[in-house]
Amino acid sequence: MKKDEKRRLIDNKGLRLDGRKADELRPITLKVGILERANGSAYIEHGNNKILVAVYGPREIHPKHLALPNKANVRCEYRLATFSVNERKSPAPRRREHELSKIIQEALESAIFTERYPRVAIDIYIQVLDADGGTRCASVTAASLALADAGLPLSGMVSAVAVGKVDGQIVLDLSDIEDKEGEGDLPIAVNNQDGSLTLLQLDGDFSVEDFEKALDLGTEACKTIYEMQKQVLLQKYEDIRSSIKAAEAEGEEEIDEELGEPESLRIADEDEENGEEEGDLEFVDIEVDEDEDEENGEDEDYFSDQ
Amino acid sequence: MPQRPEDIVGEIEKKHLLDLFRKKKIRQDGRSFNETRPLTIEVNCIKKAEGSAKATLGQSLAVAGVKMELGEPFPDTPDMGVLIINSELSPIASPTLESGPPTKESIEIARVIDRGMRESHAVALDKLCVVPGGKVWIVFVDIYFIGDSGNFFDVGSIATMAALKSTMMPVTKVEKDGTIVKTEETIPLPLNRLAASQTFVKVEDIILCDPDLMEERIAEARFTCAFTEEGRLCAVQKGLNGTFKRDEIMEMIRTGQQKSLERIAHIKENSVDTNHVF
Repeated sequence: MKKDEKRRLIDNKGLRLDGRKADELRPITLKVGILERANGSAYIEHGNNKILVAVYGPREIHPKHLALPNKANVRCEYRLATFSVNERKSPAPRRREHELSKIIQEALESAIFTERYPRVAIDIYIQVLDADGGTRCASVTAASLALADAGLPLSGMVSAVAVGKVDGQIVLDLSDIEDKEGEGDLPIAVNNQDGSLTLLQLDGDFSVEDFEKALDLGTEACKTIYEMQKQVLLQKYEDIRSSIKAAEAEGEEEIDEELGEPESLRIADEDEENGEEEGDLEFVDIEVDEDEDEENGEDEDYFSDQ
Repeated sequence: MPQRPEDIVGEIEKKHLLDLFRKKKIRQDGRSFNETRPLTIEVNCIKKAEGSAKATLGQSLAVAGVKMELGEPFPDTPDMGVLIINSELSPIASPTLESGPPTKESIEIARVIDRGMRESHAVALDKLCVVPGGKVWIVFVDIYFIGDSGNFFDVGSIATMAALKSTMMPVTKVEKDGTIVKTEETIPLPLNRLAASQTFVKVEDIILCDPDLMEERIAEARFTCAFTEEGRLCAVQKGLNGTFKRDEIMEMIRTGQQKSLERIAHIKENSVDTNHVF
């Protein structure tokens, strides 16, 4: 394609197609704990990207031969919904999805203390529902939150963003069009504990100076995203605290209103409760590993807990 | 469909539920036997899709997206568009689901939903022909189940119907040389009518409408019926190993008709426009 045929992505005032400055992030919304049955979950809207992440584990590993004797097996699946892209994608994962699953898993695993959980699985499922450029980075940001939401001890929160080159300029957080029509794309992920890079890819045409500038711009932006991640986790615990306070204020009434349990089952139910205090009875004969693992769910009721 | 130990229901839990049903005539969440869970429908949450909807039934959650593509018609219907409904039981929804090729369960759900849509002639496929025998619109509906609290059949069919209703398709122009051009202009996907389904399960001799997860797990038989907005029966599926008596079926059909009409009204009147999935 000839230079003059190309659409300009940055105008004379230095503004991009969506009105952003070169070093400006798209709006980001983060949510945690949205899925009922996952141990941890998160939802991110990054520009028009909408991505859902569920984390299960540490849990028993299937098939068994995938168990690692010295650490947890962190498994990650990144999937694009068929309707998340311009042309419908076939439901079966493509090579790109397999590669990104691997790259994202590696970006996150370095932050997880996997050696604390030998022989079990930590499963991360990423579903991109709406894609708008930079899905791998948004996925890492959300998955890191979901891991924290699952109560897994992490060495640090991982944040990610793509930097790129558009109309010869280094710009932050590429949109879908900038990604497709720009000159280069540099997705990075940073573990905020020590600033180390856990994901780094590049395609396009960069001078060494451009690369250095882009890397610094991205690393700086990851700190901003890290602050948002911290905020949403803090908010979650604030909400739990205030709901406990509200419940205490309402007193004992609620307990009496609980659905009537049949008389004949009273004794059996007490047994169940006693069992639960010492660790779930049901798990005892399933797998010894499960018992050693921390239970991550917040006081879910007996029936929805399985 | 127990696949993992977590899916197996303890005898004590089953006994507790049955005691609740028999003695109090009430279900675990306080519903009566014929009561459905609260339904919410939000549309247009996916920007890349031509139509989309998120439906929740209690804690069960499905997102359906519609993509429209130009393609070949089936040889026996050369002047009709094509409707393809596919579902994905995402491991995001539940610890008992695994990713991989579609399971029998997932295919059954998609086919039952498909049958309700197809047999009701909800989508006016005859209006989706661009060049007879050559190019027609293919309507892909993909349903992602992302919250599992039972009854994927109904939450999926509601999401599908609402997504189809929200779909805006491009207007095509056939050039002199026969090439087909998609214009910027869009029109609503032509629909003849709406349809909705209602699912029941049977536990011993008790029939429960809109089963939750626990009820589904202890169920011996399952029954789904779909109705058009005119109240006509368009699809039925009996599932699981248990059986139904004639009178039980007739009662479910009558209740199902009433509930399906309520759901259709809900899709028409209470679909909320949104930019967010959560």
